[in-house]
Amino acid sequence: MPRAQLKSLLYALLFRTRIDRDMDAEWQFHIDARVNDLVASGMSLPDATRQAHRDFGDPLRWRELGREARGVRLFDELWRDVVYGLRQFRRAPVFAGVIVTTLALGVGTNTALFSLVNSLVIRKLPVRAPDRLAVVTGGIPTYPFVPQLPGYTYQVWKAFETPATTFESIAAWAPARFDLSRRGEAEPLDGIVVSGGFFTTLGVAPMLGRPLSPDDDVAGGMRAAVISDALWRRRFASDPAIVGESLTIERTSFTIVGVLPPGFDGPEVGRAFDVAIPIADMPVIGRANDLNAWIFRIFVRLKPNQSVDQATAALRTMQPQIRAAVAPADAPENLDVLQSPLTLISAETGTSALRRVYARPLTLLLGVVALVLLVACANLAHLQLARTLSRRHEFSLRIALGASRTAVARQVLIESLMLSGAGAGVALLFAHWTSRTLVAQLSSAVAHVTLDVPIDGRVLAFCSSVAALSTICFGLAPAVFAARRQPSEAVKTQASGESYGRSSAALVVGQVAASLVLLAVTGLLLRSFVRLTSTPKGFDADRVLLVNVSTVHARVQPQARMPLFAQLIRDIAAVPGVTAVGGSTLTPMSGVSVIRYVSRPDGSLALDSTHSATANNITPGWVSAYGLRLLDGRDFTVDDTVHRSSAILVNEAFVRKFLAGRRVVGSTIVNRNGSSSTIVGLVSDAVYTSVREPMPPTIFAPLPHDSPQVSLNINVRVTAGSPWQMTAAIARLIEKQNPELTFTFRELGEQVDASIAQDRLVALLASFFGLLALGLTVVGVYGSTAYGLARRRKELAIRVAVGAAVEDLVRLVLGEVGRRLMLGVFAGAVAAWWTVRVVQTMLFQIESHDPITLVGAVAALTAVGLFAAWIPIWRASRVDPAEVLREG
Amino acid sequence: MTSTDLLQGTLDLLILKALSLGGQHGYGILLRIQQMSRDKLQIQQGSLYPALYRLEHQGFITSAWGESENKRKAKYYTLTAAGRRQLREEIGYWHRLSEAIGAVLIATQEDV
Repeated sequence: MPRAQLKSLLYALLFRTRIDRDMDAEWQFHIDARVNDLVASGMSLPDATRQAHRDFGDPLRWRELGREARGVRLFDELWRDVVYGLRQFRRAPVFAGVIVTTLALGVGTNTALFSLVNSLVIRKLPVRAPDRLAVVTGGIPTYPFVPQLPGYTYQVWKAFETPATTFESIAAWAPARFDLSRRGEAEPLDGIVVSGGFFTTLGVAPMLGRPLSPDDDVAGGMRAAVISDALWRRRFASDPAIVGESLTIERTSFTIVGVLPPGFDGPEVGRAFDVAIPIADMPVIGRANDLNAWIFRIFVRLKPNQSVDQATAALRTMQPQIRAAVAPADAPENLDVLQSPLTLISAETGTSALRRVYARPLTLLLGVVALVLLVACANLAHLQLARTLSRRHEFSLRIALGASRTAVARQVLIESLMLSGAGAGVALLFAHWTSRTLVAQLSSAVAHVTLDVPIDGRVLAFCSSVAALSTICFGLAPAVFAARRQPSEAVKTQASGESYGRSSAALVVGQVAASLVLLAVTGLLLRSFVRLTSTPKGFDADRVLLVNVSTVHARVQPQARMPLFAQLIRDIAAVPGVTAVGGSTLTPMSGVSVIRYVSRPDGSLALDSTHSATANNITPGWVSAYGLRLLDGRDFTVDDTVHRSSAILVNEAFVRKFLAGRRVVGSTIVNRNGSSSTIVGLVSDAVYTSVREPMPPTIFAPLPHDSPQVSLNINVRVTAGSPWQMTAAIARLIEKQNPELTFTFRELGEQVDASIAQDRLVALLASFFGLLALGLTVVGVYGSTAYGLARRRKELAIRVAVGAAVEDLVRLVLGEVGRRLMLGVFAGAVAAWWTVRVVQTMLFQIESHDPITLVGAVAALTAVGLFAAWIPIWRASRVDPAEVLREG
Repeated sequence: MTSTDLLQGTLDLLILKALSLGGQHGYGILLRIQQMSRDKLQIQQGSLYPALYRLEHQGFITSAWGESENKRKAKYYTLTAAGRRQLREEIGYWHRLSEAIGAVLIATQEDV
């Protein structure tokens, strides 16, 4: 449109009243001039006025034509449609309300889940050029029961640092939990330790102060720390003079040099950190041992035109040098270190353990709510259909009076658009609230989840598309229907029923099919979860309190540590109400695991999963505190700990794997370093990392009295009631022993629950949505049957009046509905059979094509559907036909 | 002849021609057209205005409030440069059209 015309159009749209006034003034002048001329030619004033007005024509028509001439006709008509639609809604507020609410809930839940998927899986890290980030993987053996992300030792990282020109820059980081308390019970905080170039490699600039630099990452550095925006606000009340303030981390003073901007939660999605300190300061806070643990993630920033594949190739050429630096070829224990090829994986969306756990379930749930929305839309379409039918007079009248069919269809479509627009608006609000609630549910006692779920462009686009699709689903048919009315129908009182019958049938069939698929999926997830919770864990999680005691900051001589712990255990055992106490270096299902290698009887050893068992160091009494059963032999004694005996305990799975056929108690096994250990006892199996994994073979070794272990997990089993009642007494004992000890309390049951939190959440949500879909289907079947019957009242009444048996009619109608249900169930069963394989990986001990679940879903849906249809049929059968005919 | 016989485009042409003789308000344009056609064309008074607004929307004429001969406020329309060009084109088209139609109308048996 040329500029002049566009300007004219805008002016006409915005200054409507002014233009109308101008036109009136202009025409008044015209008429007055004409009147003057007529009077001048001899006519009387009243005659002249009449003549002038008559000759001028109808001003309303000229005004309308004038607006049309300015190109605003379409806008006028649209506005009229909107006003008309609003009037219609005011006349049927319940109808409008139901549609808007249903849409808001349906589109809202879809948007909420999508925003979660967006934040967790799709969104890129808020850093400079995230597509050039890649993380190093490979080179370390993986075990099915070790769930962590690949990490390397500090030594490996150091070997990486030297050939620095292959990439633009490299950096390393490891997650850590820091204690900010100064005495007594710990104040834990999520943090990370980073290499000097971490922030520049990642591409994040702090909001205040400066980032950590390579100068900070040296021994004896100034102990610099960078904090998050959240911590700055929470703990320091957004103090603008924060740079230079001190922060106590692990009882050591650090200096804050910078504050990171909000919105940056770290390289790991789902895990925010509040403090970052240099790796070089780890010994200062007592974590020198951790430098040898495989916890450091290494990532690189690629050069501008370097692809991930090129970088991987470059990395692999470097690998032999790195390996040589880390693992001298002559040392046999480093046989497989960095043996398998290193690979770079794009890290533009960050790394995430949360993603690995939740990506699949969330996507599945997204599919689930999409199905729920479909089912809901079927109901909405039904509602629209009924309402449109009741308005057929209005439509045919308008067409008879001259409205174009397009205009009528457009008006109906605009009504639908207004409804879905309102629904989408509310949906966004609902989604905002729901997504935050869902993220809160992802957190458990063990792992705190921080995930930002903003309504960004992608989410908005998703919401609008879903709303638009729903509009098409339930808005198109009525518009077409309205346009196809014949003017003659305006005077007819009886309307044909076929069009309703066909559409209604199609909707019911579709709804039932979608519901069946949902029910099948829900049923499978629910049964899987039930199996998960009822599967024997091998230990009794009730009534066990975990006390983690650490001597890291206490001035305790290394040789005094174990005696201190031993004394503590004895003291706790003496507390009334305590059944058993024992200590262990690890608690299962805490996300941490230790592997120990066992040689085969012929002396051969391979460092892979066929020769490994999980391991734990324990004190006497731990077995009963934890809840394992001693099946043969004996528990450890104080003797074993003091005299460094080679006694070990093993579990049944270990026997099955390594000692098949051999005697258990008294057998010896050969360790990796060549020494041998003697089995003195056999304990029952227990799960180690996760309830889903089979109970692994486990070796228990006595905790030697000169162990370098600085902290210990003390398991306290109470006789009855909640284990938390003991916390006060135990805290007093610990402080009495040494006031500088740090300790935390946790209930073992919480830890177990946390490990299946994901399954619980998914099962819960799936059940909720399954029930919702079922409810919506019930409403749909009931509504369509009831409405269909209402439309056929006269016909059925006449049939009864002329002699048909009521039972026959009941059977007729029920048969119709039944056929639709069957068709829907059949279609749904076929669809379900085809789609359930998607869920297979999430199921525990149950096949995705489990016949019981599928049959159950079919039976439930059919029964409920028939019942829903039965009610209106039964009520209709009780109506007196004479009454109906009398209604006229 | 009444205005119902006139095509919409023809009215536009007449208005453009009328204004080419000088700016004028709506009533004046009407009188001018009647004068120029020696009273053979009678245009329904009000139908002039949608045509005027259309021409203004298309940028061929502009309007401004001014004072009439007897000191009353009236809206005056003037031809723009684009309007002048359009007028020339329309006139040329009209001549070609009337030539063609005329040729058809005087055709006899032999020309077919």
